[in-house]
Amino acid sequence: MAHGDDTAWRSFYDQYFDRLWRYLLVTTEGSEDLARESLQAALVRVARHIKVFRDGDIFWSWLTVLARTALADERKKTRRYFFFLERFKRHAEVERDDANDDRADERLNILLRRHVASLPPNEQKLIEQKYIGRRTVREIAGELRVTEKAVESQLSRIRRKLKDATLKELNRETRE
Amino acid sequence: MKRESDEDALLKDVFGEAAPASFREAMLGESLRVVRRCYRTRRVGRAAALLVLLGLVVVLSRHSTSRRPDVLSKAATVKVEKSYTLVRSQPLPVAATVTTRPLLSGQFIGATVFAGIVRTRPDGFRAINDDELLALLSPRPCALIQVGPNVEKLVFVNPDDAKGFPVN
Repeated sequence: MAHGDDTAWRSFYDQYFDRLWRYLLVTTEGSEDLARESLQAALVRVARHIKVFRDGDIFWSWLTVLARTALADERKKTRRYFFFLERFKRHAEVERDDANDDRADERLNILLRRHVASLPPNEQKLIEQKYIGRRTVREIAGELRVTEKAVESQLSRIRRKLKDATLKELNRETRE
Repeated sequence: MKRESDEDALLKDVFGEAAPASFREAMLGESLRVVRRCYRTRRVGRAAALLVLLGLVVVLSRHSTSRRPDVLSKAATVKVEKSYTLVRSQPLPVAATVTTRPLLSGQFIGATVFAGIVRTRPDGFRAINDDELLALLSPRPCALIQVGPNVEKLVFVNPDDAKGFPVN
């Protein structure tokens, strides 16, 4: 990666891009725009400071530190008025969040499970068929006697609904 | 939703859509661009540092070899200045120089010997005794004082008499 190897970077993105994205969604309390900006800044920092790590856990921990510092900088940019307060808080934030590196996905899963349970029965069934039954879109479409496109479209709507509800709740939980 | 892998698949699909593939590809391209630029910069920086170092070594070595005699002479000068003050003289002009010339033979003046030589004859004097001496010195007040065996000292009462006076 340090030498700019294309394959190495693709492998890194396959393994960590989505994970970092979800981590930042939780860290930003569900703010997609802020998470996107922070992810971009964090990945640039990874490119600048990439080095050799002993194992994956240490590497992930380093990535989360970069993500949090990138997020702190993005917040600083958007809230100049609180610049000094932010700087004062920044170190404490990084330290405090350190223990939650691996809990971002866990937290999202808990919220997701709760929202899947609150879906209407037909939508809940569709999600179960796709993600628990591991059935293909074609199989589901055959069973429901609809087109594959219709199933894809419905699944996409449900996922967007789940995402919005989860991020909203994430934001509300943090504020409370 | 019993197995963790099922949850993960749903999680990835739900939140993966929030970060579209185009964004991911753009970020990958940007990452590669940044990392390659950093890599190039580091290599160029290292090469430049090496060149500067080599240049410094060359300059310093040349400097030290050319300056060494100066340093030695400077040290010697300082030492000399401490022990004495150097005064530089200049030759006088020819007109200001006084020279001597040997005289011609006709110009020599010889010295004439005219003084006679006085000699003492061994039979020309007589020893006198103490009384004769005192009579000879009369009326000058004086005394003979014995200062050792066969050694006497003549002492004048008036110190001026010791300087001399006409004898009767």
